[in-house]
Amino acid sequence: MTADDASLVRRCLRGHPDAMRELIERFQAEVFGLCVRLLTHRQDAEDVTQETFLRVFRSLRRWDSGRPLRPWVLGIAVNRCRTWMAKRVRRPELADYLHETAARDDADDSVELVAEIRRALAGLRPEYQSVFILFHEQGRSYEEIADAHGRPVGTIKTWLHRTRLEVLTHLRRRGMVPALEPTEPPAARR
Amino acid sequence: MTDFDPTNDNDLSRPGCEPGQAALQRFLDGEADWDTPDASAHRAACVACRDDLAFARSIRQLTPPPPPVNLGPLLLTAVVSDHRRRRFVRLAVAWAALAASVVIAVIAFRPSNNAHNQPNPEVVVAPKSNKAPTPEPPRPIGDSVAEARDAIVTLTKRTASETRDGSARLLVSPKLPDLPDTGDNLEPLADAGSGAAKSFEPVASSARRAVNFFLRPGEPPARQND
Repeated sequence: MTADDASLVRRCLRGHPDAMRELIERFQAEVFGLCVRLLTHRQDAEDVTQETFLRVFRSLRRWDSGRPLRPWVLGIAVNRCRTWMAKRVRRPELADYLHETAARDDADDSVELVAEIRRALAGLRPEYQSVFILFHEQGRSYEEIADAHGRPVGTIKTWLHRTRLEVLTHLRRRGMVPALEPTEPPAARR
Repeated sequence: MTDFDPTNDNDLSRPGCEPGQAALQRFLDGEADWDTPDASAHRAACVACRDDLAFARSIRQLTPPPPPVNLGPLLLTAVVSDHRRRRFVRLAVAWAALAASVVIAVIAFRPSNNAHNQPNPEVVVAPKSNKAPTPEPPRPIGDSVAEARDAIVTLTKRTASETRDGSARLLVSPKLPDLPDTGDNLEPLADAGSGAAKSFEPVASSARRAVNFFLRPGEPPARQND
């Protein structure tokens, strides 16, 4: 995996368009999905995805070839999203459309509970949101998330646990958590 | 940081729910053998833990949103154009640096023959004189004495004036009323003699009359027997 990453990066640094396309196709879905969940706006997510990949290709020489490429790319995406959110906070007129957008996104969700989870996540700290999304939505491991955030695995586990409880508290407050009996175990994660 | 243990997180765990929370954590971590008889028995009696498991199942329904169809080509176009632009800037900077280096090298190593062979017309150098300076003739002793005397007088005057100026700073300078400008310039001592003479003129005339009175030849006293 790492050797494959290193080879891909070397070809990208030589300016091969095929290598650039391969790198984009390998990570665009994860980067875009993370940006959509963190920014709750598809147009913003597309812009930040583009910013992320521009930053990735400009910084490829600084990538440590001894480490996997995916967490490094996701870390750049998380940082870009946080910068974008900070800009949005400083300019309130940019945040006016968020309620409308969130409502439109929620209407697309078939499950009301999932929509409520997303709504609960939107009120949390960006690092809590990104950890939750990377783990539960994109299926990344603790180690990859820790690498992306530059934090120890224990910190990531603590953040994830607190995020779950925050979301659960939100759902309970809204009366959204049904009391279901467990029937079958979930499929094992990678 | 120590490894995470949800059962030891006092802020977040419920007392008595440790088996259910540990099983929930294993479920969320994707472990296959997440459930245990203890946890199952606990959940049968604990509504909160059943809710937590339901919540965990709903979390698993979260799916990432699919990217737009044209996102990949858009990203590739942006990345390639940015790559080309940056490469062009790098090349331009390199060529500019190379050109600057060549210009500096040409200026530095340009042959400058005229500088050594021709004198600069703007600079005129005075010819050196080979004659030794003639010593001054000895001065007469009288001139030296006079010069020493003048120096002593100058020093004395300066000391006197410095002392006076220093004492004058200690005194409050009187404020004189503004006089109308009559056009007459006051000359402090030029006509002091004539002014004093005018001031003493009445006294002097009175004294003169008194002296004349006493010196006037007296008439002979009248004879009583006559």
